[in-house]
Amino acid sequence: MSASPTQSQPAYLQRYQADDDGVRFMPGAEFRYGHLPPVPDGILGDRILRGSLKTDLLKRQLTLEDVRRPAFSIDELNDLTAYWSWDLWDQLSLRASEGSSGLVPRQEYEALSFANAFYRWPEFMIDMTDRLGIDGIVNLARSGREPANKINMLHSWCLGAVTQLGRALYLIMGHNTPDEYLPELTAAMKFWQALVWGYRGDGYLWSSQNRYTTAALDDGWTQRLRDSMEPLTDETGPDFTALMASAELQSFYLHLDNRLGMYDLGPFVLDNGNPMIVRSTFTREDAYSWSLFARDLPHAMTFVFEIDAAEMQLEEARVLSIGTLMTRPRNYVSSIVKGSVWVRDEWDSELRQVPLAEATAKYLTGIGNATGDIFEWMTRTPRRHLIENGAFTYYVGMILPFMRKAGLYDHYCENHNLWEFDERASRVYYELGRNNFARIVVPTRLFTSSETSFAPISADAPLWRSKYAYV
Amino acid sequence: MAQQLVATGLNVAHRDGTVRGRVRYIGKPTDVVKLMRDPEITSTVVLTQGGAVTFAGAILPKRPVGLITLEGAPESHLGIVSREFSIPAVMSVQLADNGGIERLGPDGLMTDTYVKHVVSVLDGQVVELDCADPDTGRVFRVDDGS
Repeated sequence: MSASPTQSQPAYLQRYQADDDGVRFMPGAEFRYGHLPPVPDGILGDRILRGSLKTDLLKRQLTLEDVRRPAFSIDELNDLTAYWSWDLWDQLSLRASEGSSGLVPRQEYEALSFANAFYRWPEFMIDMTDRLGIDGIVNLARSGREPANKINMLHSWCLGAVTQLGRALYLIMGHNTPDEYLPELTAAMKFWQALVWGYRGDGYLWSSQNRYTTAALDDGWTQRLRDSMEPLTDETGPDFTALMASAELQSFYLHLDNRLGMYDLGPFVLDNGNPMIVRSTFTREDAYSWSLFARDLPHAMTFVFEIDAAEMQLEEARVLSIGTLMTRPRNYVSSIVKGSVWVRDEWDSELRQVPLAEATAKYLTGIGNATGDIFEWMTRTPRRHLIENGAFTYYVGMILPFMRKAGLYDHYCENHNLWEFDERASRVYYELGRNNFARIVVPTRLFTSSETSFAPISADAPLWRSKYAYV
Repeated sequence: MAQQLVATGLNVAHRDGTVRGRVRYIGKPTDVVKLMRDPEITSTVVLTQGGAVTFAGAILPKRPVGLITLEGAPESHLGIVSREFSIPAVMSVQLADNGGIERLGPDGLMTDTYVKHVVSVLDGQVVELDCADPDTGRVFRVDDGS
């Protein structure tokens, strides 16, 4: 970010000044974790938290040499866990109040996926690192620095977050203790670190470390997308937002009510001071059987748009690490002034621009039909199948893009039972409904975080220690 | 026509002016399917309990005039998508008069009694959604003489 605000420029640009504390999206709310001081949300929270950590791991921009180091120290792992805990609170605690799941038991499938991923992912992560080397993992992530690619910040973030959430889940349930599964935890954190470092390209591991910016596009793409946008009129503006909203809705349905089907990049500050957002939606995913309802849709659609920051009096624009744009004021849709539409037919085919009128004529009805069909399929699907399918959209869906690009997806399916639950995780299914475990414990203990669920590792714990006895 | 403030909640997106429609509660998937096929959907304010998107979200492309939820926040998936469709939405509404019924039970979950009470107050009523305040959405009951 090089733009600096002047009196005539919108207020949100102030957020990129080094001494700016940002806007509080959760006024009065404070995150509390162990010995750390109370931490608010946003840019100020990031600064206070990082200033309170023991090591310098998150206080500077990391280098490739940092990423190549084979392990973290215990203090570094504990700093990462503390930051993860705040990050989850900062990004997700507002959403955790959404209550009744309605059709898809999302809290239940989230918990099941955390349980499974914690035990199963390390094997794949270690194997991929052995095959590709740490530089190969970095380059794998770099290959995603384009729109409409599931190798992105969202999916990379998920691999770290869900590992931490799985660990926390088992701590809450009393299945494990904080000093167990340390090699697995280390492997997952190193794998996540290499991916995020390679993808972001700014030396940071969370967008909150860089004032909630994820501008992970190579320069050629940024220029191309900027040039592609056309002014939206009273006639074309509603068409643009209707198509984008429909694609977003389809992506939520296809991914069973989670955010893996949509991610934002940006804000990219344009010459006129307005932010450009690059939003990709995934409308078809061939790895899921219910994606047959979307067989006529493209794999992904990208919507590039410019927001009139002065018109909406934009105070702050955050692109969270989970790839979601949040603004204050909240309503940016009515201030979108330019846009363009891009389509990627297959996960590995070229991205191409499609004129808005052509895209609307070609895809809008089909998207609506697919969404309706998936909805009806959900109404006829037994609850247990919805929970298992949902858990797979997390546990498989999060790591799938990296396996697929590396040419290892089929291998892991055929030889490592990728689409299976670990027996220990499978048993968690039966605990989900007891005492409202999934509906109360998961949102309140995990997404609001604390030192009890995101427990630090003991100072004298041996980092080689996994778990060798179930007693 | 007389107006009465009946509920307030979290405003998903600021917009000037108000929208008016008749409230229709959707409690089960068949309600959703039925409403999607009803030509009156464009004059309907949808009332639903949760803030997850897969239950009520399928209705949004049919352009109901507004959305009221008992749970959820603007950052919930349903809140995000309703904003993208430019459909006024007021989430986690609380009644001006809750009739002495507790919103949450001892387990922290919304009680069925409260849900039924809100439905009995709002379902079938003509209301106006006022989303002019950045944070708070207001629901007014309109006496339309019917």
